[in-house]
Amino acid sequence: MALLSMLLFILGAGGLLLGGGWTLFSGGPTLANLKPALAGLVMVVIAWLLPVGGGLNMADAPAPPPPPPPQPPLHQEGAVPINHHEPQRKQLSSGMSISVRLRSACSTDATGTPTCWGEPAPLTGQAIKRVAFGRDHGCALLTTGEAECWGSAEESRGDTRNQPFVDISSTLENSCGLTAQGALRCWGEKTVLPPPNHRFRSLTGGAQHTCGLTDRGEVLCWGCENPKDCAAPQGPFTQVSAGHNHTCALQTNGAAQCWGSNDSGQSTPPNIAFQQLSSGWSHTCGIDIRGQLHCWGCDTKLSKLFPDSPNHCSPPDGQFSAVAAGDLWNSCALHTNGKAICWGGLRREKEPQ
Amino acid sequence: MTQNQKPLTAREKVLAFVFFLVGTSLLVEVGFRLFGPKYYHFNNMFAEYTTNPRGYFDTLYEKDGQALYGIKMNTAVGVGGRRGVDMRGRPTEKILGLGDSQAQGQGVRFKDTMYEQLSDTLSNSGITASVRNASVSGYDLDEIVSRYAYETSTGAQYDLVLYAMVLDDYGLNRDEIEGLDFIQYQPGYTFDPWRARSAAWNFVAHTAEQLALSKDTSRAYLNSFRGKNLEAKTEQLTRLAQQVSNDGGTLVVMVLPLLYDFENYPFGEIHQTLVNSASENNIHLIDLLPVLNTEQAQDLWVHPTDHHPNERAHKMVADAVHQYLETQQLTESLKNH
Repeated sequence: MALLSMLLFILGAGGLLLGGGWTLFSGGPTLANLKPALAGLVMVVIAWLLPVGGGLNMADAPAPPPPPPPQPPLHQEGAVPINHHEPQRKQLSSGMSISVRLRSACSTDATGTPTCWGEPAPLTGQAIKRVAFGRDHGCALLTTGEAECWGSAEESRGDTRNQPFVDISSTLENSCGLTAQGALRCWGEKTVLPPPNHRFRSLTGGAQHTCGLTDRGEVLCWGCENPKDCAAPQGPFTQVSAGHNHTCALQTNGAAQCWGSNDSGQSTPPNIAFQQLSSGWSHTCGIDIRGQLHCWGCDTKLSKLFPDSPNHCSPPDGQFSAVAAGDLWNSCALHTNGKAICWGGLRREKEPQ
Repeated sequence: MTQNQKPLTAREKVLAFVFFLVGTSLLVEVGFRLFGPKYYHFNNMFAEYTTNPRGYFDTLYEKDGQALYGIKMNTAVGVGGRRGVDMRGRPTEKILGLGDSQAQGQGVRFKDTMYEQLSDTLSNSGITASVRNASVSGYDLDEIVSRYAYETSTGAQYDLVLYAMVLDDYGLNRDEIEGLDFIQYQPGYTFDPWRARSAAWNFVAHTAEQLALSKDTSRAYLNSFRGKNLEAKTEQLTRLAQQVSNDGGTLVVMVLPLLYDFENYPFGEIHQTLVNSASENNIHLIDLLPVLNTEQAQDLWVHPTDHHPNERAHKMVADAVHQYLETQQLTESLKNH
């Protein structure tokens, strides 16, 4: 197409010049004399309007891509790949959720309208229930039940694209969707399915492992590199959140119980009644029954390396409705006024204005 | 015009002038199409390229009848990093490699990345120690420091910690930049479709872009290495070096130059600043500008639309780092394993 464009362009230009010269020197601008020039003009216009850029130097130029979809206000940090598992969604205020990983976060308001900041998550702007981030992929659960996914795991979705889900989760390598019947469909790499004959009502993804809360309030985990990390205690539980190599769950009396890796104390929760938990990379945060935030498991080395930063396990004061613990000790929470606040790690000031 | 021809009327003169303008414009357009700057649409956010000029890339897939090329990366090192397909039989990872997409090896095969080539060079010199590539696209200094804390949080210990520093690691103020940052386009950049349709317009836009690049973008880079920001980041880097030392290792900072206009390189001041501050704070630092500027910058690009270092640049870096490690006797601890 580029070669055709170039040929038409050169021939048209030649025709135009020839016709113009002929017109001027042979007898004036009569219609007969103008025909070559007009033909040349038509050929040039056609050459210019052909879909590919044309021209010898532009033979490799691709067709102009469509403009990117409009993005919510972002902190501009450049192209990078996505990391991290998804932290557990909140269940405090219906329709509201927050998810965070290293370089970006997304929250939804009561209507499901998403707001993302940091690294752009390629959402199409439809109302969503929550977002689950993997390493190089992610999924958003739309209010319609569809899972809108992007990145590396998207290519292997197969017929799950048409499957409605009630919950989603992502590990670093794959994603899973929970059907209304309580069954799992998973896609991506290193997918591992849970033991059979269990109905689940929610899912949460860690680095490699996935956990599900069954209809009976028990927690089942699978896919752990270290089998001990998947040995969930007996329930019943009301909520579960998988971190990098640890998992925390909420008992019916509000007590948090954690298991798995505990190298920085992330599996040693305070003796407080919580209403929501979120397990991050190697720290954990929770909202107590008064709506206040607590975090634990922050590495002391990080405090030495960032002495001017607020303690990563000192979340802001206030009343919150959702919290998400992310990568590199970064955390975000939704204030009851709907505003998202981030702290810890590195991007505390980067929540949307 | 012969003696018998009438002089041109005003209308004919106008027509002649119009044809002259149109003809000249068309000739100019043809000229730029033949000899002007090529039009390429940056698409290196996903490291997918529409051409394969060096024949290095794999064909990733086809889209709308056009093949897209690139190198598929396996970034399954913790929460991001770089690894090869088959990592069995590699020597123990006693060196931690940190950095961003440049060290991660965007557009480059794993075996050709600087850290993996360094692993090979060490192996060839009898040192059985490999580099764990924990570089992640987009990391800046703060994230790299945090990543070090993460990599060592489980008690892992590294004899050497290599940090491939890129000149935007000190926190580039991207509000000062439009379009390119010498490496890739910024989010929010809007594509001009007429650059694909008119070579003459493409030349004008390209020239304006280059002028803005050299002025605004250069200033943004230089500003990030001045004043309080420089002070804060230098302290941060020093803290990292101290922590690595406390953990029993040695930090070596490798300063990668921006692959841009080595003949009139506008960022020499930054390199000198880094060399000076490293010396003052007893931090090992390799300035790779004198290593890489022996070549034309464009010969070291992954692709005309992606100014990450290609496999050739990675090899030059790996060789220079190996030489430095040997000269400074920093490989001695590795030999003891």
